[in-house]
Amino acid sequence: MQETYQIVSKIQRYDPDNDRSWIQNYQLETGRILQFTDLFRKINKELDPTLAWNSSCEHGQCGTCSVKINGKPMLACELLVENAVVHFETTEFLIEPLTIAPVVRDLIVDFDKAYERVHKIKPYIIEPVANPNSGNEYKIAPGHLQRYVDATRCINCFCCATACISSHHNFLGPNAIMASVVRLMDLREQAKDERKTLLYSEEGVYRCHTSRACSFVCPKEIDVAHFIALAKSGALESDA
Amino acid sequence: MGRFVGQRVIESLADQLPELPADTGQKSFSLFASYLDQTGKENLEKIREESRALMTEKVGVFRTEVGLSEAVEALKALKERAANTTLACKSLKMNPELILRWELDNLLSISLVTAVCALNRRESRGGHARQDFPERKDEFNYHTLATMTAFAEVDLGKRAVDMSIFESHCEHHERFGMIERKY
Ligand code: SF4
Ligand code: SF4
Repeated sequence: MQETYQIVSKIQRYDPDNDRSWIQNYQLETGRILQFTDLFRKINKELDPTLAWNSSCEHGQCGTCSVKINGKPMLACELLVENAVVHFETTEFLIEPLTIAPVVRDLIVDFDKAYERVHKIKPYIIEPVANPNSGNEYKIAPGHLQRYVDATRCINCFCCATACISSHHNFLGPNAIMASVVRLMDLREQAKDERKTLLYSEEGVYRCHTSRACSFVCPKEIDVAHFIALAKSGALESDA
Repeated sequence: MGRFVGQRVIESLADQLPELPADTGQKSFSLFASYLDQTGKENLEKIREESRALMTEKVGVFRTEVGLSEAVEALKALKERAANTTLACKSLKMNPELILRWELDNLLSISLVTAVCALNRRESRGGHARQDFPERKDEFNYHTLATMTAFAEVDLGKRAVDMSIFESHCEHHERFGMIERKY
């Protein structure tokens, strides 16, 4: 492995004050194990303090730094320069904002707008059943939890929604759909009808083409399409 | 998080909510306006890097009177240099450089308060190891409360350590006494 790389970042920029978009090239020498978020930081420091990008935890747990890199939606904090060179077989990277919401500036999109779809499905137990046990703990058998525990790892990074080949305009999108499916499978949820009405509506599961692009890009390795398929086939409530 | 804290503060203040001053928000507004207006040849990132190196070197775990005093002076100089930077982007819409500028001021403030408090605590305790005062001293058995109204004008106050468990004489209370931490 090389010690350093000459990286060319072609970054999609947007200036909201003049409503102007362009691609800007930045050339940098970097070490092997630099995260892409640190690559952006290096650009800010050495080449251009005006480049805007987003991050928060920078260890793959918050879903704030998602961008498209050579077309693939991914978390910038999880991608190291060295791995990117191997994965994409190039040292040139086209970096673009996600496509699920309007761009605010450069790589930053309007997350409030993106989250509207998640909020629409109510990502919480709408109507909890009375707890049969004493105390705060609601016991769920491991076998039952196993059916959907993967989906609970979703961080709403919207990578899947960006990759989704269905429309962004009239489809709730994979992560929002999955968030509702999880709660339909959850024994504590009583508001099943309310959930199903939205899931099987015009903007619901039937917009999905089962292409599995969502599962392919998910940084948490969740088989998102599987949960959408469960909803399509109605196999949500029976115990495994 | 901030919103919840704010809500709890309002709740706990209940009916004792003070009147908001007439110029509420004005201070923040003029602060940000000054960031956008200021000019000079200093580099924001460079000042940030220098302050980071300074804090690691002189206000890390191992501290001395000389090092801490130098740090206080160096931080004042960095604060002055920070006022001589020019922002390349003057926009108010999601401007990362403006945030960085604001952050730098906050970092310098916190760094200065940390150094002043460490200077005052002429003893060693936990992660604060004064090489010139290696012993732990009972006279410093308190929490330091620092207030800074203008940059580098720091007032130091005290808050007693909560010893209620130890003093309650409940089971295992003796484990909550004040002892020197040794390795
Ligand atoms: S399912 Fe995966 S890709 Fe989609 S939002 Fe959740 S974590 Fe991101
Ligand atoms: S499987 Fe469905 S939800 Fe997933 S990317 Fe394809 S169309 Fe979108």
